[in-house]
Amino acid sequence: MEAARRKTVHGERFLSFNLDKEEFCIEIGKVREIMGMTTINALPQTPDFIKGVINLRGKIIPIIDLRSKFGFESRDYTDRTCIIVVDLPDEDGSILMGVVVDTIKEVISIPAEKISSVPYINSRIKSEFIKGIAETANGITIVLDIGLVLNEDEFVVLKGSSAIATKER
Amino acid sequence: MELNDLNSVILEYTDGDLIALSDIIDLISTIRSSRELAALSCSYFDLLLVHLNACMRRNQALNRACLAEAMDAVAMIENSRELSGNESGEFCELFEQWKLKHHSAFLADAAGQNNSATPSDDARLTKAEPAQNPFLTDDVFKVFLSEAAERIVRAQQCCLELEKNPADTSLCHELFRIFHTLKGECSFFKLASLGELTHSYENILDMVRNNELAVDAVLIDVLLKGIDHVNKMLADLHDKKIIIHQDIEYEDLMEEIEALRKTVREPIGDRLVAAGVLSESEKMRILRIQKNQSFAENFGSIACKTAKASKDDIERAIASPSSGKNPARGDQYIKVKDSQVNYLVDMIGELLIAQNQIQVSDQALLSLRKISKEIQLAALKLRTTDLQPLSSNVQRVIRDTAKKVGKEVMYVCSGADLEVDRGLVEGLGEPLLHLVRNSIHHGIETVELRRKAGKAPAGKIEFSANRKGNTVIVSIRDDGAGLDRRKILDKAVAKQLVSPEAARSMTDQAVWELIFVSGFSTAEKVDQISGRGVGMDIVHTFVKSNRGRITIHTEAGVGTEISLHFPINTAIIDGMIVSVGGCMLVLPVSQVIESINIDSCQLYLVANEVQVVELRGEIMPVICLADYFGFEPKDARQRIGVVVEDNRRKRYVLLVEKLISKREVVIKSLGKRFGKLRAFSAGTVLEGGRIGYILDVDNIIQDSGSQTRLLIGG
Repeated sequence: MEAARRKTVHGERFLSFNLDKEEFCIEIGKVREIMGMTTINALPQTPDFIKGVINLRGKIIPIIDLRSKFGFESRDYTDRTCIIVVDLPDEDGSILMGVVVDTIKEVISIPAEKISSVPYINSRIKSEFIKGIAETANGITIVLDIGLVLNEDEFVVLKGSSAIATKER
Repeated sequence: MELNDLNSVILEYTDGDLIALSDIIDLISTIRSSRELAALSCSYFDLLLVHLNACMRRNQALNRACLAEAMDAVAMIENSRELSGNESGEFCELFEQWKLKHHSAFLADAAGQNNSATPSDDARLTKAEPAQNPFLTDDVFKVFLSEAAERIVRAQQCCLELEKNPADTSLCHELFRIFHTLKGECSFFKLASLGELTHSYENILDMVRNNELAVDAVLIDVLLKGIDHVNKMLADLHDKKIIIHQDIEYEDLMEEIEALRKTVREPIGDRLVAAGVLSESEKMRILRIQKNQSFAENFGSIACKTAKASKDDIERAIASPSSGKNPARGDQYIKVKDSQVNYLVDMIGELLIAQNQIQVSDQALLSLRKISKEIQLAALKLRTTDLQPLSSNVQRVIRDTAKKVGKEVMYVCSGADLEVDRGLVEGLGEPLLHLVRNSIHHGIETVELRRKAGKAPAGKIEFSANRKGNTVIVSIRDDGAGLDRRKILDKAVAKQLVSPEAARSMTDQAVWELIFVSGFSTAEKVDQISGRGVGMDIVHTFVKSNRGRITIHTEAGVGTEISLHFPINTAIIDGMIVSVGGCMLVLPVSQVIESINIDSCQLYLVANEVQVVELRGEIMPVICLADYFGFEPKDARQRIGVVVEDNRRKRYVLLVEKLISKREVVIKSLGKRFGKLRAFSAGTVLEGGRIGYILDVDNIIQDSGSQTRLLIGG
């Protein structure tokens, strides 16, 4: 009863973070953990936005740079750069993935009705990645559907073909 | 027995004694997980557990009367292995009553279980789908399914043994018991059609048991068909499909069974006459005596009394049961979830990795290493099982296929007790089936041809399994005609799989490997057994996905042996760790021949396209991994070449920057998202938590351009 009331008053909770000059947020329920930057093992034959893989307590998980995924200019990682490990449902259980963001801000509650589905006009980010825009005390935040952002199939490019290409030249 | 322990613990229990209560729960769980239990008792235990856990949570008084009742019932079920059909029905009803009495109270306790038991007014067989049965938990049903599958495998073995050895009554008894248990469980789960089928078989086997029905080819056929059918029904149930009752095949089968029941075994008298012990008139006389006594005595004893036949004669005539060789009951089994075992094995893998990072040399550490290695081996053993079911399936396929094509084939099996990874055994079923069918269809000649060639009229197919070092080799060998190079090449050229020019220069081994190409078949027409050219492709795909390889030995007129080699352990491989462009790469040692220092002046450019190196007179193409991955070229005067062999046994040199070490690595999936990566088959965690990638050598070679392969005539 109490929990239900709180939910209607304060809405669902989101984790907000900065990327370039904008503020984004994702559902807190999808976040497994937040970690500082560690050594990422580069993985050849993958698109640029995949920084590589890391060893998370014995599990190999891919790391996605959200800056390059969304086409922002790349910037060196600082000590404020964070990896958000998200847990996405999958046909057989769940899949863990790390997302690199500039800075983690805070956990905020946004009531469902405050998320307006005003189309967010930005050529860089596909509109289906965005659930809506919400106004908070600190300004405007973009609510991302992180599941869709990371659900794309293009995790592999055949860079290997370059070897043939050089030979044929 | 544990049941008695449980009874005494329950009797000693005083309300409020939480420790005793948890003891009871532990005991029940232990008993519950022991394989020997019938599904019916499992259900009792499951409900008890729900109740007990609820008591535990609320510190509530136990319903002792109900516990005692349940224990009595379980004890009865467990003690009476020879339940007759009626009795097992009775037990089901008993359970229904017991459940009705106590279960609604239990269910109210069990939070979240809202599907309360609806009283079923008819506890007898109703044609209901299991899923609609309200109180059956998925778990109980799964246990039933897996046990039933095991029983059926055993039943098939029995049938095949019985065919070889029809006099062995112990086998009939075992078969009877198997079908009997199945029937009981079916009625419990309300699986009407399966119950009916198993019931009919039980009846037939009962007749066989009582010597009313002879063990002959027809009976074995019907039995095997039934086993197939039960298998199919079980598979359907597994997929949660409803069994379709109006199955035509099923009706046919039932008719066949009924027909069989009507043909009763040749009377003993006739057999004694046939054996020359009695004359026809004597037989008639004995029959008359028997009739006058209104069949109070059986034929044999009268024959004895009238001194026309000795006891020995009669016993010989009633094919004496051979020494009962019941499968030895060895270790007890426990049921464990697959995922739990996998987790254990994974964690032990982690332990080994962490341990390898300790750089101290100390006696204690050494013994620690030894122990963890032992633990690892023990844990890996948990995932293994023997090849017995595979062997009996192969035998079955041989029997059926040979019959269909009218060839005579003997089956020889060796090494079926080899313990192999469970996943491998399960997956091997289909590929082996195709190999065997292929052998019968293409390998073994017809009886006339074999006679002409001076061979024994019956062909021979040998299934063998053995272990060599870190590989398991499963092979199917036939003593047929061998592979025909001309025939294969003609077909391959006709199907445009190879050019006529290339065909001439192909090595024999390369020609043999053509049979594994998808769509390739030398059969003139597609029939039930083979000809579509998919079978061998299935074999090939399976072997490849299990990191194995295929070897073929064939000799014209002598036979063919196709061996499948698999790494013994699918989770750990011996890896050679190298680095290229800052990436740690792992080459499977099974594919590495040697590593050599290569000076850039040793490299030649052939046809302006392909780099090759000459090594001891052999010219091998060179693939520079840095180029392949598109890394910045480093100072590359002195580099290291690793000689690898691909699945066609061609040798290539991979140029790397540094050799790091050679050791066992635990294979870790890179995740489904990276499933399409060509160059890597998996990842692994190396020293210091770094991640290495396990190279898919065959793919890299394929990607490195067709000209490389053309050059060396691959």
